[in-house]
Amino acid sequence: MRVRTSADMVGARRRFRTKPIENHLADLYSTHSRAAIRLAFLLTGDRDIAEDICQEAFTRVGGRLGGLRDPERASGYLFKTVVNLCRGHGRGLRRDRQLKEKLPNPSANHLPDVAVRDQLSRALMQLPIRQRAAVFFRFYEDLSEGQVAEVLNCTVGAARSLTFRAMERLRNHLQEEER
Amino acid sequence: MSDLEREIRRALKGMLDPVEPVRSLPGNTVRRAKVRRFLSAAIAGSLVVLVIAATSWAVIAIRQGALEDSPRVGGSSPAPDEAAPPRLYLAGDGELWMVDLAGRARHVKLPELSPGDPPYRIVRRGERLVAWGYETYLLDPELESQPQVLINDSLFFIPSSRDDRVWVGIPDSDSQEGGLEAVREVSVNGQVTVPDVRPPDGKWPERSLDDGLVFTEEGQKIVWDPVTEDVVFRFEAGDLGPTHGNLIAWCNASCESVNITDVATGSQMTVEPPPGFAAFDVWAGMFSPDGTTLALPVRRDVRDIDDAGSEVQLGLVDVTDGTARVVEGSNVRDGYNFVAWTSSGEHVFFTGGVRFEDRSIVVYRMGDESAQLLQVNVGDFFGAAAL
Repeated sequence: MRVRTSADMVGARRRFRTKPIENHLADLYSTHSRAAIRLAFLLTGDRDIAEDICQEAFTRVGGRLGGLRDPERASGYLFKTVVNLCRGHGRGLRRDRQLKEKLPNPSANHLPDVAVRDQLSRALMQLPIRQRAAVFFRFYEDLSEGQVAEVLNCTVGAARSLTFRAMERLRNHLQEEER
Repeated sequence: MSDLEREIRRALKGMLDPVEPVRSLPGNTVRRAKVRRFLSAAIAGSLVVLVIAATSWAVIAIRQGALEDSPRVGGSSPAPDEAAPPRLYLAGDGELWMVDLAGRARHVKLPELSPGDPPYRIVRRGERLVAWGYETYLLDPELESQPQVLINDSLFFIPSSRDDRVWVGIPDSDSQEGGLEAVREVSVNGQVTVPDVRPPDGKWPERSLDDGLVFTEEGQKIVWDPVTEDVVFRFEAGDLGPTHGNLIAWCNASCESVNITDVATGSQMTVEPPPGFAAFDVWAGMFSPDGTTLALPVRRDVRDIDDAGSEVQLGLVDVTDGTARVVEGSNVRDGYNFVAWTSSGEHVFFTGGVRFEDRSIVVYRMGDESAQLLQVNVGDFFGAAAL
């Protein structure tokens, strides 16, 4: 991977400032809105709240687009903002309980191992928010450990630890369900 | 790829693929982003102007030699010679006493201070008081206004390692064992400084350190970072005492010596009682605001829990060299022994006595030869804090 120099960043900022903000926001939105709302949904368990959080996250990122040191990392900033907004929302765990009741029953067209998936879906919603986010980035967005660390604002070791402990919990949950 | 990993990917796809965003970027988002950017720029510009103006003013003031004599502008804390006199607050059930150095006591009814057995009943946080009564309350130090609810869904609070904050425990209504759904750090201004996070196994945190919250796990103490949710330190310890920064005081059951562990470095200091004394009560101790002195009860015999009539004295541990000395004239009865430092660290109060009987209160000013007994009558109290 090529190391990005400060000259690269200055160049990126210059290129960035030649376009109006709505174009940048539109680009960011078309590329990342789907992932952002799915992340927010996974972290809050509520579709409406996820929508609100995404709108707020895009507003905040849009407001800072011109000031970002490295504008090409706007997506990372967006995901960080989504995670922080979901955490700051502060009622995640209570909503999780509501979600457990709301989660749709798997329909007949699902795969044969649908029971496991259903159990996993419920277990996922019981993970602490940061572990849930780590699982999302690692296994849904297929980010590397380094990228997960950057988005979650922690060290690579901590990101690895979050993912590892999330998987441990999920594994234990499945084993308990089997008993 | 492991089977579990594959299943997680499938589960996530099943859950999240149907979730689609609004198709186009809403116009109001762009408008709000523009406004936000404009406001950010305006605020940044204003700050630059303010900084330039303040710097210019300071330079001019220094040149004119006027800075030392000028009054404080905008500061909330008074100048040292204007500082409020030391006061001790004693929290009872439904009532509170404020005691000054002259031994005057002011009594107020405070129904919010309900019976119960929380880990902490009243603590000083910065220049404010936080008290417990099934809610977490902020008290007016002058006792002129009604208590304000700081957090209304907390089961208890413990003081944070940051001086102006507390950690509160949010109960898990599903838990049969009184477990916690989350812990949350809140400043006395009501600002949430660490949002809700579930503690390990829903356990109650016992102490707060700079590096994290302390829990008991399989006979060991763990320091758990609520931001990364990682265990950052483990140590063997008995009864936990007070904390300061990353220092935690603790001792074994008989408390014949006190250990002070620095969880940031792993270093540990063991402190022996002063000559003529046999044991400490570390759980009642408190570090001075600057962390250099640990004040705690010392006793001549190893604690006998059935002997509530014995005497204890105030001991001071110099944290820099690990030596302990006893404060002359600080004798109080065993029982409700609370230690409370004033926010300046100049005075330390020490209480003794048991329920339904006379309580005794002494105060020691650092540097004096001995402590002074305060001739004051107060009722039953179960927590103390000083300003």
